[in-house]
Amino acid sequence: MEDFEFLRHITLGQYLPGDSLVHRLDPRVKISVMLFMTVAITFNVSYLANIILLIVCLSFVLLSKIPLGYILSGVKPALPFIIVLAILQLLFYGDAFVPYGTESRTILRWGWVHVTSGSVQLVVVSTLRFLQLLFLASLLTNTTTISDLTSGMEAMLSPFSRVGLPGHELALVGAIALRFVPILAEQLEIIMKAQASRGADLGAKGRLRFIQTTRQMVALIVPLFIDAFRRAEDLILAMEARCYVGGRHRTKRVRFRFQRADYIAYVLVLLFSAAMVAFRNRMPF
Amino acid sequence: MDAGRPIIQVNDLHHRYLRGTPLEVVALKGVTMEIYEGEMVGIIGRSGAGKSTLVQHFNGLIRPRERGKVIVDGEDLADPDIDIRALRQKVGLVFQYPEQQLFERFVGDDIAFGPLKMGLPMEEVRERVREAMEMVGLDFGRFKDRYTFTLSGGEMRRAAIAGVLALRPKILILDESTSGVDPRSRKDLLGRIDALHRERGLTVIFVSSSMEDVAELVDRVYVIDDGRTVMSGTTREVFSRPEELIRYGLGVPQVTEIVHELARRGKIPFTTVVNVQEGKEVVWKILNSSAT
Amino acid sequence: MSEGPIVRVENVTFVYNPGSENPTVALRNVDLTLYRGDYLVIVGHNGSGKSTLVKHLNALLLPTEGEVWVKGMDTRDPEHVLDIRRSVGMVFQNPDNQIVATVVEHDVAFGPENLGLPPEEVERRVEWALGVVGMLPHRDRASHLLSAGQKQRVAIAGVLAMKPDVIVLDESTAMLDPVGREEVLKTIRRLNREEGVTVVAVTHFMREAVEGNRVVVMEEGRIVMEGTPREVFSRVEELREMMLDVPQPTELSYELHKLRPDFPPDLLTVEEVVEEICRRGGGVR
Repeated sequence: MEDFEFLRHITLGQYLPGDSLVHRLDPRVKISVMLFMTVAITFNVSYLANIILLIVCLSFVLLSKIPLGYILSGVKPALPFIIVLAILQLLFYGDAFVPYGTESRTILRWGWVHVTSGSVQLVVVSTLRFLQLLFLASLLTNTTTISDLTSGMEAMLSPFSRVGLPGHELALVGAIALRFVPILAEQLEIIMKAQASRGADLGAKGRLRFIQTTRQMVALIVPLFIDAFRRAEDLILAMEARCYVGGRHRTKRVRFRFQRADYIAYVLVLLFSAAMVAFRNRMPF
Repeated sequence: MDAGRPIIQVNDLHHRYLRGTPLEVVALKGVTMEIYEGEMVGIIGRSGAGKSTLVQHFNGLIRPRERGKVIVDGEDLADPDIDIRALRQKVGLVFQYPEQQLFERFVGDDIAFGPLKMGLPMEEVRERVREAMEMVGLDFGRFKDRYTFTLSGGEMRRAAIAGVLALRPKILILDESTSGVDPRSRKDLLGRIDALHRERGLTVIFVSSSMEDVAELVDRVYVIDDGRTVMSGTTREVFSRPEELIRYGLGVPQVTEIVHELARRGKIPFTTVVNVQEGKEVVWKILNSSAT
Repeated sequence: MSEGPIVRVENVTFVYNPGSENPTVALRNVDLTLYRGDYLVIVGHNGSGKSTLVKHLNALLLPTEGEVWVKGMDTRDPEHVLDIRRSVGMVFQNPDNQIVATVVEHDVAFGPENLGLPPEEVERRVEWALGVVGMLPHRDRASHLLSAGQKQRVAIAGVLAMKPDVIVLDESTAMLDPVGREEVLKTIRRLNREEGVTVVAVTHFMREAVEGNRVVVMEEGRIVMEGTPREVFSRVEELREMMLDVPQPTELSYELHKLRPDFPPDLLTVEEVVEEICRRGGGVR
């Protein structure tokens, strides 16, 4: 039953093999694009700017050939929260948010409810931003292997090693953590199924809230933690046996070289983001 | 064995994981089998063949949603209204490395998890725990108050199996549950499973990739490969087709291989043995004929 | 070879949690000598001390009493730890828990990179090691998508890339199906015969024990039998008493020997038994 498979349905962070332009970009470019775009998104609150940004993000998705429906399906579990949050903001935010250069007009006032042009804009823009960030984050992780992602981070952090930032260790910790996520998710699925097989109320009809009692939670959490610790111990032994003593004396290998497409993508997105930030207050609406 | 009525019927079962996503995996593409009440049947195949996916249908962990039908003890598992908890109690499923699911501090409490969840009175729970522990050879008095995580690997394995037996299932499924322990514990477990089947009349489904264990334990086997039923018959019938088994990533016990090789060299007519005892008898005849 | 032993375990006793309330003696006065080119198989039940013993061979554990010498280096000397670990590589049981990187070739490079070798040398070794284990075509695949047998071969390559003299396999076939097990055995055989690597394998499968040139049986922290596979497995009654298995061909030949003393009691393989029977003529029509 899909009740047990929910962990497999997490779309964020799941690498989908492919051969698109986005897949082939240097991970450092992808991380940079993500950063530039995030800055642009943070600075822009107008309708027009966010529509433009959404279109740009959508075009990235199209370029990556990742099905849009797949990315959106990842939001499904969070949808109720998002809707409730949006409604609360719409009804009760009132004048708390006044976009730059506009006057907040009251649209509806009824008891506690106070809808203004500002709160409408807030809700619409928040939704657009949410989609933009979702697309970017999903794309980065859907088109880049964990290994490339962490090597890319390591390469980008290496200039800071002079000021004592342990770029290599951070990247390794990140890589290992990410690597074990699917393994532990699979383990949790097995534990859930096993406990359900001996009487736990998991995945039974009308009981979608799988964690019902603390006792049942214990039946999942304890075995999961024991498993995680055992794996960690194994991994430490395996790393020690392979002479790991930290990053100090390790071989540094250049894994990436910028290609023409990388330069173009990097420069284009940088210019675009800078422009979006520069013109943020000149948008007509 | 034609012991009784069919208790599990599987017809052309299909299953896909992550259906409708780019990561979709086809796990079953046409499994058909029939398991009779009171028999001990083996399901064998290489890893990734679909054995686990198949048996997880039997207690409703996975429900048939595509092509195919699964009927367990008269109930169609595609029917959304069946009482799934009653089903899971009737069909006990033991996973691979079941000791990884232990969580209570004391052994007895862990085994009592299932009966407690069923809402049975304390006396009944205690009785079931005692009975289940006896079945796996853990002395109730000596083990019930032991710390779970101080048990040896083999003892933990037995405690975990007791946790399923405490539900008093009619059907017991062991999904590779005898692998990964040392030879002593493995032999002990195989003996106890055999006893459960013979003395208590449990229907046992034994999933394995160890041909020696299968030969020792079961009368009838289904071979699964690439999500399909590819062979079926008595253990002897299936072992008599070693080339096919090898094609499916399996093999035959070494003694079976010896007798097949002797037949290939014209020493004896083609025959299939399933254990060392039978092999000895065949070879004994050859050796005696040369003496005369 | 004429040179001295490569590893010497001298009168080693090992106690887990010494000085605590419940110290556990895992090894009792163990002596073991390993020569270059050996293929030594260690069998015994869980808790017999097999794993504890092999962890002494690369200084993952240090003896409570006694000494372990690897290529003339004392494992208790912290100066030599890295040299010892690059000389004695170790492959563990769970294929998922010993892979560090997410891409096959990056994982194989982990060991050589820890040694600080020049990038070209790392590259060369990765290619060579993957070639030896037959995984070169999969070098840029994601490690979590491999079969368990393939993962173990990658783990072996990761150890091999450090060019060790000895490879220890601590129940490395325990979690594999027959196909995976055969893949790994074939790889080990090849390492031992063609690359001249000394092998120590811990296993529960007696069929695998026949592969070695020496077998050691452990029970309660002691070595209770030692010899060639033929010598050890001919002691069928003693092994049965210890609840250990005997390879089926040996069991058959032993049973026949009981009926007919002129039949050899210690045949090890299917071929040997078949040859012996055919040599004697006779047949049943």
